[in-house]
Amino acid sequence: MAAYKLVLIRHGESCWNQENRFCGWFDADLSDTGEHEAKRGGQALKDAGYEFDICYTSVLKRAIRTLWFVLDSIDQMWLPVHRTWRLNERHYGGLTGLNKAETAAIHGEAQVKIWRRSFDIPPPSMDDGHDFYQSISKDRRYADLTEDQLPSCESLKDTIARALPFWNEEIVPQIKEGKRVLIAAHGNSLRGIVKHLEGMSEEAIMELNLPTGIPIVYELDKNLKPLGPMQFLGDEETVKKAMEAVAAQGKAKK
Amino acid sequence: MSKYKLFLLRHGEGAWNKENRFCSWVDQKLSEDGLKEAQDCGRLLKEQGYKFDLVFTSILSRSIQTAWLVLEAMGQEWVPVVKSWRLNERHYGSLIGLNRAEMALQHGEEKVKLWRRSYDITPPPIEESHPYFLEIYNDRRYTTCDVPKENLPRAESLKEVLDRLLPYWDSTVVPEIRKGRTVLISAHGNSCRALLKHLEGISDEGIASVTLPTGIPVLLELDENLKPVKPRQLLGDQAKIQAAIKKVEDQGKAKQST
Repeated sequence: MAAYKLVLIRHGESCWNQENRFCGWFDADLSDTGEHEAKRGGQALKDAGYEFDICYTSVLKRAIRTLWFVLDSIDQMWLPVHRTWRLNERHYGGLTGLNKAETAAIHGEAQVKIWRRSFDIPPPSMDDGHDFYQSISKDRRYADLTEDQLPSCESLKDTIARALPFWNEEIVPQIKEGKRVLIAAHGNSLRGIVKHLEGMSEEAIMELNLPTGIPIVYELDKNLKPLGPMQFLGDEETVKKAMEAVAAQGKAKK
Repeated sequence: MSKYKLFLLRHGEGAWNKENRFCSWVDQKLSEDGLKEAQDCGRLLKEQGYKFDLVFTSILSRSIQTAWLVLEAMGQEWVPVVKSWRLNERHYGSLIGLNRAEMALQHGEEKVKLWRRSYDITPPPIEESHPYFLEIYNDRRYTTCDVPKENLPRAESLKEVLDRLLPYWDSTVVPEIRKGRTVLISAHGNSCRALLKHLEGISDEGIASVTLPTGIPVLLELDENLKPVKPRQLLGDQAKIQAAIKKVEDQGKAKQST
């Protein structure tokens, strides 16, 4: 018997996903496809009759707008929403803005795979000469972050290390109070939560591709241990297709 | 010398505005025109270089939708949005859902004029038999308010709107303004008017003739005591503002026959 239910949703395709560029903290918007995915995800939640009490998201518009589409679909726009940089996507440092296929051609598929898929090897830093240094590191939304908190690049390990404190200190108490939580975020910040919930190894989390725009449901016991594997809401084909699509990225185009 | 900037915004058209029905606490979404009004407003605020730190809305979808579209147009989706029933539109009691003609028929023109123009006369309360009673009071959002559901209003005068708005303004909005945060309040015709009455010291008689156009941002520049240092400014193209004011005033004029 589930004590709690938690729903996660990874935002859909962004304009940069479309171009296969490392996005990270760049505030790319959803593409038309991404908007459609968000609406479809919202519809799946509506059809299944989900009600929430509180929502969490990052400070990046592709996650926030995904949440907005969902809340509109399920007619719960009035829910409190907390935005936090700690749920942001992994910071891709000096790779931010680079096309993934080009990067693979320059550095080799193996190096790209290491940067994208290793647990604790960070990409090169984003230094102050980088095209996106001003628009990211100096953005007003990060004004309250200390020097230690503001990353210039992150490994998956780093991403998880700054996401989990928020999960533990802010989200978990709400779940334990019986609040039904919806989290709309990014592939790597959500991987952090999933790794933690399921006690997954570093190797295992690297292999896991969360589908986009598809609500992911966990049933948890009173200690917040999942009672079973994550469930996806939506039709089988949509789910299968989405997982295959993510795995295909990062391979150099011939 | 202005110390603080505060922005008020009355949301744009919902489906019932077209039919001249009092929407009030019924949770209608914006019409296509209303969506466009919000987007235009956001574009204007972006062009003029404004940066928000915090947005307050009611818990009615149309004010939230408006806030979201404004933030989207400005690329400021990350700005926190805080929602409260205390910014809701005035509760019109048993008049909810009626259009002007129906109201005049049921209650007489004079009575209707009184309820709309007076500061402190409350319309008849909404009863359980009212077609929209359950839609409103069965809605889960009203179990999340800082007041038990049974104590929420069943009808309000403009004075009663201010009575439930002011504590929120004082406890929650003012401290943020005093921290130097640029605040946007995305709300409704009457909740905005009630707040203006308070901030500008408008008399009980005077407030009757104050109407805010929809979708036009209102800038208030306040001193360190939160008193306006100059008259409120309606931002944007003057022709557009005049058209918006006229639209609201025309809706208020009594219509002939059906």
